Amino acid sequence: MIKKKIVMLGSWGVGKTSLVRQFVENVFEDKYLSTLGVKVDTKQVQVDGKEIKLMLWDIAGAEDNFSVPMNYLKGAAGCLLVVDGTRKESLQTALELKTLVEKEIGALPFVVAANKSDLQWQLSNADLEDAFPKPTDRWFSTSAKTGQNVEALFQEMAERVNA
Amino acid sequence: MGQEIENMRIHFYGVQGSGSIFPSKEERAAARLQSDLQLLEQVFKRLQDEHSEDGQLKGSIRDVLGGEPERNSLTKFREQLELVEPRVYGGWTTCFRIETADDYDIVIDCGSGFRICAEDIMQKWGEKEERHLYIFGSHAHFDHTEGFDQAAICFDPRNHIHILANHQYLQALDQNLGIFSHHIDMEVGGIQTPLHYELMPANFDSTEIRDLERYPASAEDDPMVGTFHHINEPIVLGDTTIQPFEVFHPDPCLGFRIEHNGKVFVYCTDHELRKGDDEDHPLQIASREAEQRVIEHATDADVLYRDGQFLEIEYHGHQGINSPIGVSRKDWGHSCIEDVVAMAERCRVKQTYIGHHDPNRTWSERNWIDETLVRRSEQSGRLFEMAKAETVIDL
Repeated sequence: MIKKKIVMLGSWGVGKTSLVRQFVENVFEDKYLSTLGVKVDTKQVQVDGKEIKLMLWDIAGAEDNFSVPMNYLKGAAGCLLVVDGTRKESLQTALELKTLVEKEIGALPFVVAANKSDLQWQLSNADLEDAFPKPTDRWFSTSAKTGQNVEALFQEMAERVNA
Repeated sequence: MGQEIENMRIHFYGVQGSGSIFPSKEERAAARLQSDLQLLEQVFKRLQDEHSEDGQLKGSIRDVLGGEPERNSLTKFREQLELVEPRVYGGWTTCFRIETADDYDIVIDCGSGFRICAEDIMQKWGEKEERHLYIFGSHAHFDHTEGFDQAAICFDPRNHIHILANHQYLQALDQNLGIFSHHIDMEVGGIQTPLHYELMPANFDSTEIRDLERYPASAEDDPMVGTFHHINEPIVLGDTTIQPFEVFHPDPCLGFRIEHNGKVFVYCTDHELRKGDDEDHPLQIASREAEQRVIEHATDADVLYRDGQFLEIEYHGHQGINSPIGVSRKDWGHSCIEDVVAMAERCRVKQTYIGHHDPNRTWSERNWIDETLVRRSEQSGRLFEMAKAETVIDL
C-alpha cells in the first residue's frame, strides 16, 4: 500500500489535533490541550480506486518566537496548513510557515483548512483568496467540531499527493 | 540569592543529559537575534512615547538617553528597559544542590555541573570550621560522575565529603580515584584521570544504599564501603529526610524524595517508562514497577525534576533528534516528555522541570518545546518547564 506523510502545520491552537481526531476517530473535544512535539495518526483513503495510507504528522504549533523544527518535515509528501478563522494573525503564521517549508525543503503540495467555521470569524473569504490566489490553491472552510468539510479536506490532500 | 532560606533552596547546576554541550555558532546567533529584537522593540517603543503628534521627537536623542551616547548613559538607559533574560538550558551535565534552613549542603550527582556547584559551596563556607558536604549519587554513568575530580572542594583537607549512593556509583568514583579504599588497580590507574586519592586531600567517606533485605551486607563486602543503608529507610540530615528509591535504567539508578518541613522535592533522573509491545517482558514489568514507585513518591510533590530526554516520536525511532533519521531509543534508559507531563498532571505535582536534555536537541527546538509547555501550564494550572541550568527554587 502507498504511504504518504502529511505534515499539519499552523499556529498554536488553530485546531490541527481536533481536525485529525475528527477525521480519524469522528470525535471532537471542547477541552484544548496543546500538543507536545508530534503525534502521528494514520488513516486509509481511496484515490482513483487505490488505497492510500495517510500518515498524519500533527506537529505542535508554531509559537510566536520559535517555529516548528524543519527536520520534522523531511519525507513529507504534502502539507496541510491550518488557519483559525477566529484569529486573523494565524493566517500570517500559516503563510510564514509555507514560505519556510518552500525555503527549507522545496514546494510541497498543500491544502489549507480555514478552521472553526462554527464560530464567528475575523477572517473573510477575501482574506483567504488574497493569501492563496493561485488557481491551484485550495482552501476549505472547516469545522473540527461539526465535521464540516473535514473529509473533503483530507480527501483533497490525498488526491494532491497522489497526483 | 542572599535571602534567608525558609525550608530548602534547590539549585540546578547541570540539567544536560549524556554529555556537556556548548552552543553552536548558529545557536548563538539565534539567541543574539532574539535579544537584539527585544531590545530594539523596547527602544522604539520608548521613542514612540517621546514623539509629538506631528511625529517629531519632542527633544533630542540626548534628552531621551539622558546624556551623550557613551557607556554610562547607555547602561542606565538599558537598565530602564524591561528586558527578559533569554532562556539558557545550560551545557553542564547533571548536578543539583540543596541548601537547607538548618545549614546542610546536599548535592545530587556530580556531572560536569559539580565544578561550579562546589565553587559556590566553598565560597559560602569561607573559613568556617564545620565543613560537611553530603553527596547523593543516582548512578554510575559518566554524565553523573565526571565532574567529581574537577571540583575544588575535593582538594581542601578541611572538607568532609560524605557520599551516599548505590554500589556502582561508589565504585565508579573509587576505581579511578581510590578515595574510599585507598587502592587503585594498576590496569586502570591514570587512564581516565591523572588524579587519585593521594592528590585529593579532602576527607571522603562512603555509605552504600542497598536493599539489605534482598542483599544483606557481609563481612566480605568491598573495602570501599564505609557503612550500609537500607534503601527503604529514609536518611535523616537535621530536619531533612531523604528517601531513596529505585528507578529503571540500564545501570542501577536511584531517585530521591527530599522533604523538609512538609516541602517536597523529587529528583528522578535517568528513568525509562519503557514502551514495549510485550507487557509481560521482564524489562517492561521492571519499568512499570519503577514508574509506580516514582508516582508514589512524586504524588503531591512541590517540585519534580524528571528525565524527559525524548519525544515519543523519537523514542519509537520515527524521527531523529535534530535529524530526520530516527533510531529507536527503547532501552536507552530515558523517558518521553509527553509521559512526564501526563504523570505529573496525574500526580498533582505543582512544578515539574523536565531535564536530562539530549545533547543533539538544538536551542531553538528546546525553546519551541518549552513554549508549548508554557501553554500547557496555563491550561493545567501546574507549572511545566524544560529545566534550565542556574534555576534556583526556594521552597
